[in-house]
Amino acid sequence: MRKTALFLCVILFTAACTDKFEKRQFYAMGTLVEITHKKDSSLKQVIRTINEYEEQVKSFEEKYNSAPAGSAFEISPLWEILFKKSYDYKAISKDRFDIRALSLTGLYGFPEGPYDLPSPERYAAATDAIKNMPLLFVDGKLVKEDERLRISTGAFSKGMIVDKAVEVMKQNGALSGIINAGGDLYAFGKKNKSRWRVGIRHPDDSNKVISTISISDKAVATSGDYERFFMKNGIRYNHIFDMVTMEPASLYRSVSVIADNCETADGLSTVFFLLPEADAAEACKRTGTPVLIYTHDDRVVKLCGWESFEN
Amino acid sequence: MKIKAADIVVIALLFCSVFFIKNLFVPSGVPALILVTAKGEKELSFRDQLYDLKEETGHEMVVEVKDGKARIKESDCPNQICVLTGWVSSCGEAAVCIPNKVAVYVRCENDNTGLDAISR
Repeated sequence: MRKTALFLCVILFTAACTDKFEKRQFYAMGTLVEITHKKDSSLKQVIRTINEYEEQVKSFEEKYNSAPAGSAFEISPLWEILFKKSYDYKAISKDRFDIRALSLTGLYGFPEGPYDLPSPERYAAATDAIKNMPLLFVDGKLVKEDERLRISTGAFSKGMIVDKAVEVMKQNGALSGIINAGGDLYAFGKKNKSRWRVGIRHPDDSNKVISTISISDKAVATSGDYERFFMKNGIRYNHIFDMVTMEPASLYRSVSVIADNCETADGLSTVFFLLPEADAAEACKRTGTPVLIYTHDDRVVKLCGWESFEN
Repeated sequence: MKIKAADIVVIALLFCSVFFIKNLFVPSGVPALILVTAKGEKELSFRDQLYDLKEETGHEMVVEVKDGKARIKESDCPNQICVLTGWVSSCGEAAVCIPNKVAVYVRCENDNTGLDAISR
């Protein structure tokens, strides 16, 4: 009898030791967001935070993008940060990354489609505007010089919003969890005393991974040519364009980056997607971020200590 | 009452068997078919059926469940990525239509990949 009681106690005790997590999926930031969290936590405030920041980012982009030439705009503190970040990425990428890339990629139908090639005239006008019309700030206001200029922070704002959402989760008492916005994710704390296991998707097969890493309090983001792209005359046009060549970036199939926050991982995965291998290897040393590259000839290149996370 | 060495052995054995017994009670990897729309998540039955999502989403969309597999059969979105994805049936597989905010995916309790998330 006593043994049975002890036995039950032991079972209950052990069962109570393992963390119970559940996944919640919803739409935000133009993608399916997945939050892994403790069963008893509320996500209401987290989701509201994501929606509010998304609205702040999107509303200014829409306002600027639809405005006629000569319009001037007040810059909110959030947008001041976003512009500053975009300049950082522009510098690291040696001008290949530019917040105004949408002026050109938008003509192809990115980000949402339907996709097609632009006319040579419209292509020339857009590349012209990007080359000759820098973002102009007059007395702290942004002035739109050319009607064809359009901006998008899509390459890094999703990561920034993930970071803000994680902050709210932690404020609400969460010690561990994952926020994954369509592949750009931050994993904090631990699951049953071990680090979170994250797989990097194979570009050609959504059921295969090319690397598995264990992380805690780290972000991972991936940029690739296999989700947002279209084929025309046998050429693959993916959504990331090189603003030096004014053509779709075609160096790699995918690039993943591990960083301390999701905004950095998100932005740098796009930046390294645009950089030749030698430049990427050098740049990731300076940023201190491990990088995984999947090449067109199916090589997996690991830079800046990626292997140390694979165990 | 004093604890004997035998007791310790028994307790240790119990500890080990707990994990085994827990696995008997917790079904591992039972798949569930989940439909995600802008309104939230709901579970679909694996019975063969066509779901018309016109009322739920305001879009011309049809989800088909057949032989334990599911797919987005029709959609009025521009790129048809979700339709081209085809059938989903194994843990974690998904057909996602971002423009219409509709996804069908297979969720497993403790999916057998041992991964907590995928970066893509």
